Amino acid sequence: MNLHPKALLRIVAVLAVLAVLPRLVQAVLLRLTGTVVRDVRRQDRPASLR
Amino acid sequence: MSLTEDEQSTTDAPERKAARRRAPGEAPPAGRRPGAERRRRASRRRSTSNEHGNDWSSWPRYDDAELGFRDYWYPVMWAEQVGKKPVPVELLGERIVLVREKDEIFGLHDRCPHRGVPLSLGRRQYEGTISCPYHGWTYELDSGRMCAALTDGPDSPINNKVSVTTYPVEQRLGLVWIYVGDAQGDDVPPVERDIPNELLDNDFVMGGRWDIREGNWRFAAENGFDEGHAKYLHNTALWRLFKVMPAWNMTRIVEEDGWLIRVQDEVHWEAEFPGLGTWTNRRWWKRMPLPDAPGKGKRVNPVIKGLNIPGFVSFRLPGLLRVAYPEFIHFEWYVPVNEDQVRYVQMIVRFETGAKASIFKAKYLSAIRWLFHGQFTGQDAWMVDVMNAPPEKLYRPDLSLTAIRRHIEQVAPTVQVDRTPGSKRQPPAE
Ligand code: FES
Ligand SMILES: [Fe+2]
Repeated sequence: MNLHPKALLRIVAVLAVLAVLPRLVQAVLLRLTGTVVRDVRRQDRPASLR
Repeated sequence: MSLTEDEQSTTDAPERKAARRRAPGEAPPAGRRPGAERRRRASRRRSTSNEHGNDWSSWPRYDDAELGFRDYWYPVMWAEQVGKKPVPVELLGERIVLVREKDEIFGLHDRCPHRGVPLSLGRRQYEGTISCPYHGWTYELDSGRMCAALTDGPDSPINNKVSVTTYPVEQRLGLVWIYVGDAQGDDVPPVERDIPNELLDNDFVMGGRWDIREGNWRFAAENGFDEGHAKYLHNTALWRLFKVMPAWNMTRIVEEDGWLIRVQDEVHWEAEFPGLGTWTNRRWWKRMPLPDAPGKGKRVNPVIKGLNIPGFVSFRLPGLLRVAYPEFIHFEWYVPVNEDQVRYVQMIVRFETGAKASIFKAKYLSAIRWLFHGQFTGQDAWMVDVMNAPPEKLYRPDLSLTAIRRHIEQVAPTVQVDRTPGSKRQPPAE
């Protein structure tokens, strides 16, 4: 199959947008509305609280 | 990314309008009632008669706690919101500036002792320091010591003779926590003391937001634990569009591990009011909701099951609400800003990782943030803003409110007093 360079470019552009979109949305939401989503790992507790 | 609270609260459009929130706590004090007037209001309230419900004199410590309680750690914002630029924060009526140096965040009293200019307007002239924008007095971030008055030469007699108060600051769960209290050095309690165990001992995914809302923190805290309100106020929330809420409950409060927990003894889905008709939230399109405790659902997350909580809603000092469902938990902190404003930090937690966590993030950003952490808790903000009590006449479900008040009288935390520098009542500490 022969891919036209323009079509290839379009696919790359769409992939790039999809890759950065979630991060972009998060950055904008944090900036404008103080909203975040994130993974949090188990925390160490100080000995006095164990 | 850095963000001043000023920017944040002026750009947070939809719920802000809904709740008629006004100037943010951290903006220049123009929009706020001056301290003296606020205090006058408070004392006028206290001098009313002693008749039951006219004032809060049955709970004197609580009554005095307009500015909250000392000796606790309070969450104030997301760690990534403190960048190179200093960020002003008002907490329990104290003005604090947060400054990031590499991975560490420092907190200093936001007032230059020279002439009272906020250090948060200052410059980061030298590493590990902040300089006041007015005459360039330069403070060490870790000690608060004024190590150089730049405009008076290296051997200025005042160098090293002045300092500003520093505040213990920690970063946990992606939040910045500030300790306000009198303990120093090793006597400062670990921040983990003020974080629920389930958030320390497990991996989880969370979505959350914070904003500054109008109204005293006690109104916000009482509203969160208020047994009666959800069945009526939130009846119109889109978040509850497909779930029935009870018509009324018989409730009792139990105390476990420092938490006050609302336990439902009876749940009524409808009631007949003679002469008025039927009162119910049942609709053909609404699902019947959960059983009466989070651990009793059909599918229960093992961590939540392990908590063994006898009711959905719990409260603990200094002002944290936990609403547990079978598969997720909603937390909200009511952090006192000043007498008239509360910093409202809300967070939904799912004890999941991997693909389930990613799905939750997408759900949070697209729906939960706007429905639950938007319109739904915006209804609470609206009430907290407009309510005016005491005087008050309490009804049966309000045992949830009086439980908080009684608990505070028992635990007897240290009440914060007005520390506004220059205030006649409380001279500045420095
Ligand atoms: S007011 Fe801060 S240096 Fe003069
Ligand atoms: Fe509510």
